[in-house]
Amino acid sequence: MTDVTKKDFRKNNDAFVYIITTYRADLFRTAMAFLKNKEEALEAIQEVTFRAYKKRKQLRDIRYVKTWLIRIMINYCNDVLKKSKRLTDDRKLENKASVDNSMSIWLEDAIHHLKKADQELIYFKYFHGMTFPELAEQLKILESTVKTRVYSALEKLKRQLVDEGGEL
Amino acid sequence: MKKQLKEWKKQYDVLEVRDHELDQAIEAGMQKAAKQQFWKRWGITPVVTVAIIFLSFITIINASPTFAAQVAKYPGMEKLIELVQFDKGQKAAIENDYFQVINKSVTKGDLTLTLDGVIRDAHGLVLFYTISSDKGLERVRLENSKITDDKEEELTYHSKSYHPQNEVQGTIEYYTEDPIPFDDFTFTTEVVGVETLDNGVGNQLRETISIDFHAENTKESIQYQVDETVKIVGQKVHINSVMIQPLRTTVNLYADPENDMRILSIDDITLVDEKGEEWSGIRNGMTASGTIEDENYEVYLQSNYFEQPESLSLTFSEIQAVKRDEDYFRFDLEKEQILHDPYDMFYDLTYENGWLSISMDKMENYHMNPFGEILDVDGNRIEQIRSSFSHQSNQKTSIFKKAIQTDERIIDIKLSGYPNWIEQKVAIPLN
Repeated sequence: MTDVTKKDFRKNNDAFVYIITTYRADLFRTAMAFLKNKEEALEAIQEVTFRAYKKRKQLRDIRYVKTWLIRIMINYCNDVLKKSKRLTDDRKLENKASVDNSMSIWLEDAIHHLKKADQELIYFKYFHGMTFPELAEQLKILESTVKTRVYSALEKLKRQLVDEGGEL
Repeated sequence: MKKQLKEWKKQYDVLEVRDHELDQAIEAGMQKAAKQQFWKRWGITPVVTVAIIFLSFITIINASPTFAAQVAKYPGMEKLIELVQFDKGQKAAIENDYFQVINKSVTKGDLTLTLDGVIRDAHGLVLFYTISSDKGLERVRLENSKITDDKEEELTYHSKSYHPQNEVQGTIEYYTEDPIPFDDFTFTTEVVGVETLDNGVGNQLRETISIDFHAENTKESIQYQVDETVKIVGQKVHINSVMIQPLRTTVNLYADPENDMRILSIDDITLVDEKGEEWSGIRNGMTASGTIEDENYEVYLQSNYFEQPESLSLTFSEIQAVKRDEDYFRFDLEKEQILHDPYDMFYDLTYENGWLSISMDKMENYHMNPFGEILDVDGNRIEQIRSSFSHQSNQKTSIFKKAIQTDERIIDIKLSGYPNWIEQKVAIPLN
């Protein structure tokens, strides 16, 4: 991917598709975490491709393309959830119950209730496995600031979970 | 906390999706972008697209004269031709006026659901629907559909299947084990679609819509008690009965559990009349239910209810079977080796990211999912959360993939299909 330049990304559709394809699995996993169903996650891929294409000129630096795409995905998913008002849908809990991962459901729900910036951090760090230095570079903030923000997001998560009676 | 986050992430490590599905979605996103640029340039409204789509439909209408005449009775019903093209029984039901026109529409929000009509018999209900909207929509579908009676009691069904035909039309099929006990129905469903041409916001529209309708079964089923046992290359198959109803034919048969081969599937089971006309298995929907060595096993065929053949026979000749004590695969997932494969038809085992993949030389007559129950070395079932299976072919090779989550190194997978046949022509006269 290093050989795709920002200019290619903006001007050349093949280069654009190549980049999206490189991160398709990351995008799909993110969508699944929010939307829970394959059809909707595929729809999300379609929509994010479309949105990213339209906004492709706003990308500041091609090195940030992965975080940039995941952000668009998280935004899209939040929109969908908000519109269908099913953030804590009973149906979802019921469907998932058989999987015996109720802890994960509470956790996920708590993550989805965080404010957007915190949500993104948790996803970048724990879902996509990015390191603190990587995050610092991608988000153009000091590493120490990244750490502070991640830990405060974790604190908020913990508080929410305790409020809801989850054991940690 | 970090451990929980890890667990959470792990849940999504196995992708229930194929690369080409992702690529299709990306392609669709690009098309959408291209389309929008096109509209912007020409200032054409979606109304024009609708006209273009209609034009392309006209060429499809060239069915039989009776069918065409029948269809002409219901305005706007031309599309039925497409919906029933793979099913001789449903097609005959329409030709014989057994299609019940409902034509009721309900609008909620931006979505309108029309129940065009139904075909109902004692054990089945097929609903024909159309979805419309003033907005341009894509990825239109129905979800969480249910049928209730006038006391809001839900219909107990044995199988339910969605058959979307295109963006706006399709059928839903319900089949029940016991006769459907009522005639006044309420169809409730979520209608879902995504707005197109909305400057990329991608609004998902979702409405729950209910439509009441009345549909009676006026057709008695035709029952043939067969009670015959046939031997195919030494293997016994018991045929109990054949029941013909307007929507489908049910053949109750089973393979003898004492056979020294394990029968996996009867591939070409067919009803044939005196003129050689054939009604074969269901091509687009549920093909069978139960396990083949169980007395309650049923195979479904397209219905010939509305024909009056002078004679009718049940025929078959090709049966998938393997030696009884060899009815499984054994795989070493760590070394990616096939340790047992009854006739050594498969090769190139891989196990990556939770997907098991094996290949075989392509055969025109074999497309079945070979993977059944998954067992550990002690014969305990390894339960799976997901049941994803994929089958791809190129010119020479067929590749079968299955999502398997396990930490076991050696696993057995029971066969549910296998490219090995015993062949012998069987014809059982029914009358």
